[in-house]
Amino acid sequence: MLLGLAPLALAALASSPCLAAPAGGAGGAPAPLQSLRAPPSASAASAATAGSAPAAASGGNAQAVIRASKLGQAAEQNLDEWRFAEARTQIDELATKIPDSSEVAYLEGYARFLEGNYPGAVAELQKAVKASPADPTAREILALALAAGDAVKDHEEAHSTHFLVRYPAEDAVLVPYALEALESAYTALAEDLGFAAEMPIRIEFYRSPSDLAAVSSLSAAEVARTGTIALCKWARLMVTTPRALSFGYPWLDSINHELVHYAVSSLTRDRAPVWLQEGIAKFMERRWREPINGRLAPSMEHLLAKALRSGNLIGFEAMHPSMAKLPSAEDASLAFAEVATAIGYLHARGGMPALRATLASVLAGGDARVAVATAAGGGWPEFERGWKSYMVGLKLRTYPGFDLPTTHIRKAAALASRRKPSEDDALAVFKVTGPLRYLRLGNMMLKRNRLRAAVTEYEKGARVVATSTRAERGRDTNAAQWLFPVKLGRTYLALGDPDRALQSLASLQSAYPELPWPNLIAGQALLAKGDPAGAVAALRLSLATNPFDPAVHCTLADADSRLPAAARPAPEIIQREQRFCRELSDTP
Amino acid sequence: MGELQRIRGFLDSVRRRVWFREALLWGGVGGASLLTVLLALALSAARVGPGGFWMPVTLGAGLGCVLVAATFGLWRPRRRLRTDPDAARMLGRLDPAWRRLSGDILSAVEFGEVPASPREALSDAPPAPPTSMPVTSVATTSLVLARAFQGTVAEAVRPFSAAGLVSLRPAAYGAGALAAALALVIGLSLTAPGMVGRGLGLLFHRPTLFEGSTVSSVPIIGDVRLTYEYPAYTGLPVRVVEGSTGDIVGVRGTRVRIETTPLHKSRRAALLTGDLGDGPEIPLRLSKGIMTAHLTLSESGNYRFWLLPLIGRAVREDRSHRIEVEADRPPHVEIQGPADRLELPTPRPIEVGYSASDDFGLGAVELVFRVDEAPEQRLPLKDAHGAKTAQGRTLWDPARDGSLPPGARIAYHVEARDQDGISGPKSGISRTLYVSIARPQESADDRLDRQREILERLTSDLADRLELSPGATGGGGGGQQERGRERGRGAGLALGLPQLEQRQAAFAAVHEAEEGHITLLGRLLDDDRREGILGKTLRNQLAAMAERLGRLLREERGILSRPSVGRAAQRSARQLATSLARAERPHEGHIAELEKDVLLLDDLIGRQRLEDLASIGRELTDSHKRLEDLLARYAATKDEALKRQLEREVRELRARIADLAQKIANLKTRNEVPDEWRNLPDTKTVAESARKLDDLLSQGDPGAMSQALSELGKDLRGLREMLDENAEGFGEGRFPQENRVISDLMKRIGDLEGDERALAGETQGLSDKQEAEIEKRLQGQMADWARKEAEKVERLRQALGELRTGDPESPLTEEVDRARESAKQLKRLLGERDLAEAKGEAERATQSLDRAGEHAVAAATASAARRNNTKNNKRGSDGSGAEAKAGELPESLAGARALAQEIADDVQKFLPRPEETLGPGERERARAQAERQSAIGERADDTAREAGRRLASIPGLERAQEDLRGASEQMRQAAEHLRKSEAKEASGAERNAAERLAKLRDNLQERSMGGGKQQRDPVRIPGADESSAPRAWRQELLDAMKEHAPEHFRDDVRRYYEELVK
Repeated sequence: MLLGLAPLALAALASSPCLAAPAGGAGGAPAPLQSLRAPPSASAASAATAGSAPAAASGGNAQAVIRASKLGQAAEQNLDEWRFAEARTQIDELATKIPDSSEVAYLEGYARFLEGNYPGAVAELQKAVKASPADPTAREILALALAAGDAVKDHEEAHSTHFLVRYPAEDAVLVPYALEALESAYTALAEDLGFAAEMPIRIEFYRSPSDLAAVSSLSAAEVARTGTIALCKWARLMVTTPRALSFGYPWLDSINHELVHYAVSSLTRDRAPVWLQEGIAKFMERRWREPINGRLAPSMEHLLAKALRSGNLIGFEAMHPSMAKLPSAEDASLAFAEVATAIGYLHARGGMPALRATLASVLAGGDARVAVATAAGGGWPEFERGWKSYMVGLKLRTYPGFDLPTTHIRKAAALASRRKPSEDDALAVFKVTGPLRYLRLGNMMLKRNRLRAAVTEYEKGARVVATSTRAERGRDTNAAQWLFPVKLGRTYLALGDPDRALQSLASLQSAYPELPWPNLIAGQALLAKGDPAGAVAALRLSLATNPFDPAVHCTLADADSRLPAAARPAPEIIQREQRFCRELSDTP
Repeated sequence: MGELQRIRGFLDSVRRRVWFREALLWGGVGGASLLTVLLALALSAARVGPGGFWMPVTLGAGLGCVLVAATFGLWRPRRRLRTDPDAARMLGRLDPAWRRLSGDILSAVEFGEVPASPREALSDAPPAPPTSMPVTSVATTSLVLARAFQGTVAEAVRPFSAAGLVSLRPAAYGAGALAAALALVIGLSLTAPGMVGRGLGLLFHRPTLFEGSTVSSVPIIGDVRLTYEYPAYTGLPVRVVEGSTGDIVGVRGTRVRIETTPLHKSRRAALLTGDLGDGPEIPLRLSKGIMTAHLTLSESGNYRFWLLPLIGRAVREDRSHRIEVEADRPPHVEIQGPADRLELPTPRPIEVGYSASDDFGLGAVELVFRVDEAPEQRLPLKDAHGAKTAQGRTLWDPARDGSLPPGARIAYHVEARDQDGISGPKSGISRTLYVSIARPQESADDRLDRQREILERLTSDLADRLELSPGATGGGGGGQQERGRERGRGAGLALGLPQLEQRQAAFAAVHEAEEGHITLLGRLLDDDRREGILGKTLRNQLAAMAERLGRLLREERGILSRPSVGRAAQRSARQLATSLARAERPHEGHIAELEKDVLLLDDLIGRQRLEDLASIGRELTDSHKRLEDLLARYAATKDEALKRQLEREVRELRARIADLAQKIANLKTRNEVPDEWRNLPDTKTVAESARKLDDLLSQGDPGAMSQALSELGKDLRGLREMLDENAEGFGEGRFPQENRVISDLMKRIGDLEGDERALAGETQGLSDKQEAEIEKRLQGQMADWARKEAEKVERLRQALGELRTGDPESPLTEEVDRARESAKQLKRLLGERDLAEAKGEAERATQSLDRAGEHAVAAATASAARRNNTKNNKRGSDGSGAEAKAGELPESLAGARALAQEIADDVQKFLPRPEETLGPGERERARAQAERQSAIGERADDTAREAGRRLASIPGLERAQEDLRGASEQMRQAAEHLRKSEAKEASGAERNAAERLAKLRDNLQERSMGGGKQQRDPVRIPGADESSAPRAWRQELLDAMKEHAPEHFRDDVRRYYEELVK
């Protein structure tokens, strides 16, 4: 499973599911494993693999013979399906039977790779490759283990009950929030879907999308083209740090989205098709912070509303074999909205038991559509009809002049500099033409503390945006829709007018939840108005997008401490915010 | 004394006299004989030649003469006059008249000593002396009588003396003979001094083997085998020449083994060196019929084989074998710099190209420079380690050891040494180039700080005006503000007089402040006009900004100073409100202008800041490359000088990194560049790597240093990439239109360049054929002609060398230097038979001398005027020789010029007409190429027009149009040459055109990557990457630089040419 931001639905572009499900036909199995896997639904393939053993033996490939042994094959399959305990037992048994064999080295290496012990995996896999140089599988896993080890070589680690986080030192600020969100989501998933992890779930933060590409089976070009930002694969969550994006991104939602994939993959032994995987993940990605509500992000709502009006919905058939095959990012985003609402409909029909039943049916080898329809209480045609009615019933709205959030990966130089993303940095992605020149002038005034002059410039810009057409503004300046209100909000706040600041930001908070600043400024304004509880809520949303802005932590510490005693978090939480406030203020 | 004693005394005197006479006589005769014999022998020796026998013969003859003379002159007289009786008898023989007396004397002496008494006579008689007569008996002879007799005899001889008795006349014969012999010798010596002298010399000369041998007219040795062992420094392998003639050719220090076989059995053999065997004799070792000798070449000469047969006289060869010691020539060194005389506004690294060659192998190549009168400094460039050629380029920073004072003049050249270990290393020196620092250095930071200050002031003005704007209440939303603005317009009508007055005062204050800021801008521009640091485009942009804002301020002042606005006491609130409203209308335009200017200035500053950092990044990577080179050389040579240089360069690198870190910190503090382009590296890592390298240097472990340097290089490259990316990104983001225009034109210019190079390639083919044809036609005539022309060129060089031009910095000197250089090139080109180029060079020399003549006439006129003035003031004070010589200079120049012209004409006449050297098909091809060339030229003209339209306002590219026109002009010339079938000239012009285009494309590339060159960018060698063709072009440029520009534009023109030659 992978997640991107262009829009969020792009998470599935070019995706290969966490646990590939060849039987389901959606997506593709991770290449290194495909050749050896004998999934239950593909017994013929399994038989073929087994049947090919003599041929391999006659070709002199003793390893193939050994690997074709039932025990080795079973161990490998268990590893593929993340049944680590069973796999471990089988590997140990195999090690007693044929100690020092390359087969054992391979399986041991593979197991260690999945456990996140990359140096150990490399050592074992090198033995396997040395013994059998022509074996592509071991070589590919070795390459992945090497890349993974390299990507996290200077990372630090943090643990919680069910999770292990590996992160670059400069991203330490992510850890407490990530662990809190993940544990919260884990509890919810356990409650909702009955998910329980066999071993601590690893989450690895990477410094750049290129690192993500290096540790995945995707190429750097694919990652860049699709805006892939996170992946769930090889029993771990692989996530690009929000530091790598100009605006940050809803990173807490994203890691939880991947966690849902992890859970679904584990629960179905990787047999759920892409649309079902993405539907459930999208539907439940905010579960860590709110109850299930089926609410769509404004961008998806906007696209789905338009599609419903025009009748241009994307059929589930078109999503096969992969959402990455859809012709455009907007289509992909729409597809995500559709599958999310489909699961929303299923949930509306049968609640969580319906989802559990669906997953159980898929685990048993049933067709996903039949499973969904059955869980909803009917056949697939009825489900489709009901789902469409459900969508209409949601009364979705469009947002005129909406600026679809896109993935703004920071430049390599910016990433290399390890500078945290800043508001200036983010705004600089737009060409300073047309109305945006007023933005720059306003910023210059703001930096020089000429607030009234800054307001004048921002207002001029906002006026130009309001009176110009989209074509006149140009593509790059669509962002002016939210840029000027954000800047005005900030400046009004600086001028001591929080009401006007909130007024300026009111529409943005709901329309652009992917942006950190509306929530940050709103939080500051609410605090200025004496509403610390409102401020904390807004600030936490901002933090869930860009945790590197010291202002978020400073204001949050302030807001937390002003909360009534009953609602006030523990002192160490406040101290933590104060510490981040200090540390982030001191670093470039 | 007794009588007998008296008689004996007399006889003694006579005897001595006789001895003397005989000695004289025979001495003369002997001497005469000796001289005569010697003369005869000398004459014989002169005729016969040297011989071993001459000395014994001579000595024998001489000895004989001496013996004869001694026998007859000394021995024989003594023998004959041994006793007194002999003497007495001789008296009788001397003169017949004395015959009786001689008998008496004889008797008297025979009586001997007569005793006084007989007893005494008996007892005391002493034994009779041998000469005395035996006294028979005293008793028998009367003692008295005897005494009386003796007394009588004694009395008788008393009157006589020996001189009277013994005449010396016979001795005169001897003297006469001697005199005659001497006269003969002197006479012959005078008439044939050589012969006599040589003959005499030969008589006493011990002959050499050469002289003592007979000359063989037939070969005496078989085939010669020579084995050359060259000195180690030449790197040449041992060479064996079989069947040699025996001639030896080699470099000094070569050890030659000579092996041959004697044709006759010999018992001894040698090599006789020198024309006449006058050199050292080198023994030949004879073994098993093979003769072997070793010799080490030290100087040219010759040698012969000499053999001593088993029987008979020694023989030697008639004809000698040549020994030729080849000269080990000093290295030939060429230098290339951005210009022969480069003037820089601030010290910057200079690209220096060099090539050195040596016949056997080069050693160290060094850049030698001298700052003003300071001691010469040397910078190792390369250690060729014996390679025959070495070339390379380096970036040399004249200011690396400290700042250069304004006006500093640095002379630099390249010196290469060979490895001659025999005669000692010889040096070759290139020509000397010069660089001078024109102005004091003002750092980029200072310049930017001043711009930044202006930006801050203008931003403040803008903010003031924005806050003064009607409806600028500091909030209210777009709609509200618009409404406020409308209210404001109607405006002030609703305000009371005090508020209006307050508003008017605020207006005036803003106006006044802005005027002050524009003055500040004007001051910056004034300073820059003097110092020329900002660059023309930036200056123009700032000047235009100042002009626009100044105009708006003048208009505003007009409104503010109107009576209704100005004199508050006499106006009503309505009048004031109306006037303020009138003032506010242009105010909005003023704000728009300020907004535009503030953004532009902010962009310009940002670009300069980032380019400054990027240029340091480039500098650092360049320094790293130099360090790599130095380290490699140090590792190979362990030369302490290199180590010191390494240490120096590392220190500089560290200082530069610290400088960069400071600049980065400043950039962050100042917040001048948006975050997006502020992706600045962590210089701590780089500084740490450099420090580590510095530490390792002191330990002197090249391996560890190499690793540390490699790590540092990686860090520096990353750093540079980051800085480049910032500058490039900023350029793209903030000057997108500019980048687009540049990109478009780059493509077009690239196409033009490609087409031109393709055409040049074809024309070159034609040119080669034409050259071959010319060569063919001139074959046979060329050598004579070239020799004559070379003589003329030599005369020209001599004439130019004798010119005394005075001030080395004067234009006259420069022109003469240029003519000298042309003459030098002319010599080379004639040697290379490159006649077309030679003609061009001769013409260039002519032109230089024309200009030099003009300068000389002007100088002479000025000098005459000064003289007149001096005469008026101080009559007859000086009419110095110097002035007289100065007056002669134009004449000398005219003579040299005529010679140069003559050479050019000679070449012109000698060369066949171009159309005759191409076949019909080739002429047709040339015409077709001319058409293609014209078409490319037209495209270049179109592109030039477009460049003029689109690039004129882009910093650093204002001259792109002129550059393109220059290329187009070259193309026209090329087409013209092609039409005249002058393929070589056409090819040169085409290459020049292509190079101009390439240079322009490079400029565009740099600009599109983030901007023009920085002050610290190295000054590159123009066209050095492409070919050697640009010499003519550079010359043309340098000539053009000499054209006088109007005073007002002089600086600009100079800077333009500086840029071009960079």
